[in-house]
Amino acid sequence: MKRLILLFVFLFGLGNSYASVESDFFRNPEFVMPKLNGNGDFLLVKKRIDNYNEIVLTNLNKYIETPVLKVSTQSSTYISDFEWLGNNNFAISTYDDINGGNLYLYKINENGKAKRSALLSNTYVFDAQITQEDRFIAFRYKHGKPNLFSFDLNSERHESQFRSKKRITKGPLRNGRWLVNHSGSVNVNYDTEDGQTEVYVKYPDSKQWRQVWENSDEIEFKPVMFIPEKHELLVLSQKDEGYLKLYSYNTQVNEFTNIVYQVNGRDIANVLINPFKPELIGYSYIQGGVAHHIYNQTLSELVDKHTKTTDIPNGYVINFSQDYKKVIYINSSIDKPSKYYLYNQSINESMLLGEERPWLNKYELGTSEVITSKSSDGVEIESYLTLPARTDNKQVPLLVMPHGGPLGVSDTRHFPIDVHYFVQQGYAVLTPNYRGSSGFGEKFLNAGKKQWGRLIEDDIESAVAKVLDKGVIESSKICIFGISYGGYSALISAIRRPDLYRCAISYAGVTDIPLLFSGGVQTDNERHQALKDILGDPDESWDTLVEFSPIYRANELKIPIFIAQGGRDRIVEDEHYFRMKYVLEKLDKDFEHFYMENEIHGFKLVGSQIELYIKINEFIQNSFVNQETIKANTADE
Amino acid sequence: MTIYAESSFTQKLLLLLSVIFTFPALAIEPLEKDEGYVLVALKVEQGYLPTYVTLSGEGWGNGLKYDLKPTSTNYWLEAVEAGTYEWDRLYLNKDVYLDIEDAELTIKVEPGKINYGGHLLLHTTMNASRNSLLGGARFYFNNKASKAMTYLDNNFPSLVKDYDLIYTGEHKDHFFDYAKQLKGVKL
Repeated sequence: MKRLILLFVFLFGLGNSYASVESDFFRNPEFVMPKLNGNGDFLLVKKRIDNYNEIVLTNLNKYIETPVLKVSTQSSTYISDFEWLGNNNFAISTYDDINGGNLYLYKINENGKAKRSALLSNTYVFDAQITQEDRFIAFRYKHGKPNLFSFDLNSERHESQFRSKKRITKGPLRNGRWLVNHSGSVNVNYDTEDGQTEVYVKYPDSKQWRQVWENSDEIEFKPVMFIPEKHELLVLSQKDEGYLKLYSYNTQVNEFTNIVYQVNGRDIANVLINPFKPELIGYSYIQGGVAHHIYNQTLSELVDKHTKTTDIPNGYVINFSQDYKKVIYINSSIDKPSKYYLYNQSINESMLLGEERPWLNKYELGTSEVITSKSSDGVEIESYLTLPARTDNKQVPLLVMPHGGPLGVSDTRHFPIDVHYFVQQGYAVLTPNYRGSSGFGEKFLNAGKKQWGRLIEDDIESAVAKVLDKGVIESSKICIFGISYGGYSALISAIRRPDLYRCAISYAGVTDIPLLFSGGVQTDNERHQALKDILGDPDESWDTLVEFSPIYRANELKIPIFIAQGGRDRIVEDEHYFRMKYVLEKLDKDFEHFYMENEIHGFKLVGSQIELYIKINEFIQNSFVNQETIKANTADE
Repeated sequence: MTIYAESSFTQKLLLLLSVIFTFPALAIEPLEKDEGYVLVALKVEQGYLPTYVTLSGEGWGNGLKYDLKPTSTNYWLEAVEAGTYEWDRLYLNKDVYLDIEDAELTIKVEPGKINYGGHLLLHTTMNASRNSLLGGARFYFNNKASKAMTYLDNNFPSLVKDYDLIYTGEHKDHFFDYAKQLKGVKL
């Protein structure tokens, strides 16, 4: 009996500690994105408390915390965003797959308590208009068309403010995009259709819209801010040298005048605009997998002061009070979870507000480095290799994790949680920014088009080869795992290089390229054109699309395969998964499968993620063990 | 191959049940001249299960009407006159229905073939018990050819051998041709 109890304790204890790594890495962060109001006296933050995600309001003068809205972590509803609408009003957005988005509006009363003032269904905050106490710009679809409304927060009549005649989006491009100025007026209307981009601006003293740009889609022209008194439209474009730069464009003569922001050999990732007045305050870009923020003089002096008080580098500003007296920073350092700080200029002190994942502090986390390789055609590829903290000078297995997309997405080194989970399990993880990844310029981005299963995978293999040259990897233990395009890449890589990879894991992966065209019967024209541009025209290159589809070459698979899918994935429909499963079964291939009926593209529920990653880790380990068994048997013979 | 979420006991039970209750091949009427088989599929992903559904055909009296069984996915296979059929209404009860005709979800039936146009997937958050529609409904018409193939393999194996199975959606699909080749390899 004693033995039985001991065995039970051992098994229970083992199972528990085994699962705890997964639950530590995949549970939701407990403190996310704190936001100050303009006066700097209140703070909103999303917290995870027990089994709930909560929006908590903190009175910074009295340090009193009040929960405002809480949603169970098991609920199909989640808190998607929250923001200040002036000093005393704020909004919380929730979303669920069935009902779509809800917008909860709150007002802080004289006692400092938040009271719900409205609930607006299918409505989003387009522009918070933080300097105006009584209104914000709301976005809502009406009759399938996008509309903006100037919503009066003091009015008790809510729905009547969304009548069609009250929309403020009355410009030449009805279904296009809009910019709103700091006074709440729409002043830029632009759109791209059939490869033609049109841009219109509206001066404050005019009722007319004036066209200032019309050109083919070859030159990107993305308006950022219109300053009518200077006849200046700030525009992101890659017109020179193929990298996104911020330009000043003169709307009187319709000409580019000068470059405002640029980075050598990289795209500008983001332009930072002061929410309180129409001025630029900086920009950001990604280099070496790390986000760099360049600020104007006022903000960079504050960043320096904060850095001196905390001795923590790589901090960047999330938001600040209107008088710059209070600033919130994130120390989004590489290879560690984020921490948030409040810097108070009046007393020159920084205070730790919260940590996203403090429970990970007990782990020795891995460290990343940049790997640069040359692909088959000489194109330079930047990848990131994250190694376990302790390898005891032994070679470690490698997990290659190509990102999704494949176009316009890139990996960074800012603590990708799945990478660090696998590193904690003892793998080195390689995340390649293959051609098509964002941030490396237009030429690199476009080079990823029509290269599914071809040059993109050459890029990935070049990165693997470079890592193998370092001598830290056990070359007989390499697997490839990806989500979405990464899942496709895992399958096609298994077909291309069974000599290199020991197993492949495809999670929500594309398995049949032509199905991307025929999957949704009601395919809209815009999506169809985009697919043709990215993949090739099925009418002209049908055989190629079939040739590079894993399901039609499944007979070539020689290594173990794991496929995983959510039943409510609307990005990569579960038909990709079921086709692969059908074919693998017919061909009697070695594979495992994992399906969650109610899950979406990239599982949403923490429990589903934990279950999946435990299975994947077991699958990889078993693949390595089986490989060793085969090797041993071969040696015996 | 591994199937998760099924204990070995469950697997044994399933095996036993599958021996006892082997899928019997269903009977279906033979095709007349100018007729083809239409495979209609509806999956209720969430919410209310309609009592019956209708598809309109070309000309008066050529519509199709199917009653639903209380399962999340319903299939109907029938010999019909060649032509175009369009999803029309999903009746939640005798009086209340979702009219989806405007979405123009069609199945084009070619003579002498088994024609599959896609699965209609339905989400509802409505209460139709008092003859009123509260909440909303969303639907998708998606190509789920492998599920259609599995259904036909299990229920009409000889029909699939004897007739070409085609996807009738706007864009070309390679799966049925490939699945047929695979069977050729295996059988």
